[in-house]
Amino acid sequence: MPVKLSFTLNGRPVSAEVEPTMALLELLRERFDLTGAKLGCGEGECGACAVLLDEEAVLGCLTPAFAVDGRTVRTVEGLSSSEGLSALQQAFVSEGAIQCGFCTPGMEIAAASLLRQEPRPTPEQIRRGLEGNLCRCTGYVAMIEAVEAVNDD
Amino acid sequence: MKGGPAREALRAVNPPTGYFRPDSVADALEILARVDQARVVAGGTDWMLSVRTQGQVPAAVVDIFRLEELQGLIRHPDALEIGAAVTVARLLASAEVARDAPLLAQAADRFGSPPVRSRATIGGNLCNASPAADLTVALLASDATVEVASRRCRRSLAIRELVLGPRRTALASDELLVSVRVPIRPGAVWAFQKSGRRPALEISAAAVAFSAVLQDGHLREPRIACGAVAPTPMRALQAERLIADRRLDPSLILACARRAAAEVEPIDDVRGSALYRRRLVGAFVSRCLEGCHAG
Repeated sequence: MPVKLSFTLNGRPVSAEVEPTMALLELLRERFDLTGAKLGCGEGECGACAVLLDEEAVLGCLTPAFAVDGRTVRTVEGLSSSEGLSALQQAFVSEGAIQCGFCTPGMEIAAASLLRQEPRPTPEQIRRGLEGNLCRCTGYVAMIEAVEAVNDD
Repeated sequence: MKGGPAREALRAVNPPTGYFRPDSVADALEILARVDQARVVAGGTDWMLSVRTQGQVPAAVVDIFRLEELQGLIRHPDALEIGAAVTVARLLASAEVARDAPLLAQAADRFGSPPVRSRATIGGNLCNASPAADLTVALLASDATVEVASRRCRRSLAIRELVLGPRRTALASDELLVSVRVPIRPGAVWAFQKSGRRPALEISAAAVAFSAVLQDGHLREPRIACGAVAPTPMRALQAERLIADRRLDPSLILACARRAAAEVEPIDDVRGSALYRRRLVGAFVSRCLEGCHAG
């Protein structure tokens, strides 16, 4: 029995029909071609699949697709606007916080979720905010500095 | 890039036939009574994993994550009542939980990672019945009970009556866990210790939750709950008896820690050997009691 969903995706109203067992990540990647969120471990350990659900980070691989009905989803593609990269994304570039890039979408989503709750986080809060995301290049220090730099003016 | 192993890994097999999103507990109970093999799903973090890795697909899904009646966080004079669908993120953000259920707050703080905490629920953590469920360990040491409802009856269960074995609970197929009741213990001392392979997201190799009421330096009604060292989270009852109504001193702490390490029943697995886990339990019990001793 397919489930009919209507939700807001990166600022745009959309609809879809999904099987109840479909993961949110599959819905985003396969139906909407939003391939920023990645399948890493598929079991909630790495954070590469993170997206914002009502502006709060969730894992695309462990969230059922049906959970988004009537709600707002933002992926890494929705962080930037027509004017270019967001301040957070620009900080990742400026601080050299991107290496291979595989973890970057999930890291930026986790950071965006943290900055919404805590606009000027301490380094410790940043570490806690990003603790669910693994970087295989181990470039964590630059990422913490990037998040710290966003509202540091 | 699309396709490849990622695509295959995400694809669920044999989709279930039904999806229900009831608007009330009464409707949810009606569905559970009527539909055979319906599976209750809250945040879905454990469920999605079982679908993908074990191909466990139920005949129907009953989605309760947004059920208003299951979202309560109510402070009664003697207990905190927490709705089954309250997320770990909400537990962590709650001043009431921090003040009146500090063990639960501590377990929530060490639970998963932010994107897991925003979906995982207290009821889900209990009903998934993992031997390593940290919230369950904290609730066990807090003398918590759960309210269970069905169309037939409503009943209250202690945590040890609810969780029967790995992935196995006392809930009948038509029953729904609606809330958790954590008694408020004025003057209680408490401590929580856990270990895993990394600070975040770890599934415990062992966890210990301790609480007691300190009265004139004596420990009243001590509770020592251990996780990931038996088929279900368990109380170290012999160790508790050693320290009940006693004043702590270094030799008593040592004896209590040794007894707890002896009475747990750990296994060897990827998160640690049985011997290592016994030693963790001993060390954690010592730390819990020393912290309380100093305080």
